[in-house]
Amino acid sequence: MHIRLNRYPNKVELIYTDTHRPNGLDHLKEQSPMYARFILVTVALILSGCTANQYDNSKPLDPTQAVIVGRIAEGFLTQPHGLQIDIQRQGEPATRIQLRTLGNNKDVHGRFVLGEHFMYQVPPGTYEVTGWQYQYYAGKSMARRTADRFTVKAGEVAYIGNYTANSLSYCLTRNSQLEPAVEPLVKKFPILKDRPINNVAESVPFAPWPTSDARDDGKGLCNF
Amino acid sequence: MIKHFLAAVAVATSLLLAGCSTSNLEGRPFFDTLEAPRADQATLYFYRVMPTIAAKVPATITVNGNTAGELLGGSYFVTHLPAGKYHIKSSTSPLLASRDNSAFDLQVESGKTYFIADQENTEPFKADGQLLGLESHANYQRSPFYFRYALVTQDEALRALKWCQKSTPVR
Repeated sequence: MHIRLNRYPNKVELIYTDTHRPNGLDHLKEQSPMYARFILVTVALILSGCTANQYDNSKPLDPTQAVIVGRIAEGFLTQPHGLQIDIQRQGEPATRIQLRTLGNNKDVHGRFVLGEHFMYQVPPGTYEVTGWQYQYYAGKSMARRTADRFTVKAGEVAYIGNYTANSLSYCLTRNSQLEPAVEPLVKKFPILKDRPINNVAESVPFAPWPTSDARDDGKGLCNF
Repeated sequence: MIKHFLAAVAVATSLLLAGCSTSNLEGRPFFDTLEAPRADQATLYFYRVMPTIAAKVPATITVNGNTAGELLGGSYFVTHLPAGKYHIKSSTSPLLASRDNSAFDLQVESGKTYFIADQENTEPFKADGQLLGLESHANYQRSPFYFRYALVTQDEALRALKWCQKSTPVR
């Protein structure tokens, strides 16, 4: 058996070439269940990190959990490239949230912008924005000297900010203005109506954050 | 059958470990300030801002055949040399031979500081007079990438070093 890595990093082609045996095909059929099990187990191990799902308005809020809300959007000229932001619970890297601009139910859409207001129920604790990237660019976010962390308590609704990036500068920025976000958040998640929203983004400074695709045009990365 | 299974395990393990490296920058300090120049030696900063290609594959820098340091993506190191002309070579994994197995000579003077950048670009570099050795290029996932070493100004280096962590010293 040969395993060939495709040009596309997410695709691995399995090519069976057992030509030494006269009954190679039968042999392969015989072994396939074991290979299939092995591949399934491997894939399951790779994907074993738990990614939280967004709140879907179907259940009441769990008072033992915290709620984080915010906005993510990407600016683009011709087509969106899939902004993704990774958030992990501190000390538990397997507990993670991935904010995305591509997908269904996106309520922020214009000719040059795509994204959404988001809401997740999460275990109370301290969370960190650990990285970001575009789904359709190879660049990865650079290491930063100060981590972007926020702490949320049970029963709290915490606004973590309005994240935006574009595929010209390859820089992620965040503003912490809660007021413009409240109305669209309540519209998308009616359960937030009349609930106090704590602006945790306000107390955590966020410097523009480049990926490896960003270029220094004479002023430094993410300086314009 | 066991042989096939072991082969599959080996391939899967290597795929799982493909993103790992023997060294990493976890917990390493970020660049802070420049070292004061030494009157009797030249100070050389080597750095590599986080690249898109092979960030976790170190480039090993040798000076006259002696290892001076390693550059992972987003790292830097400092070395000091007496005045003179040196042959500096960068080598990396054979799998990335097209990336930056580069070599160049550099004349240095005592009391001066030099900034040598391992650079990556998605288009050919401009003829800015900074090139050291030769520029190379390769295609990754059908996209062209260009690589070079460059002797850059202090201003340019300081803007880039802001995003770099100090390399783990090479033993």
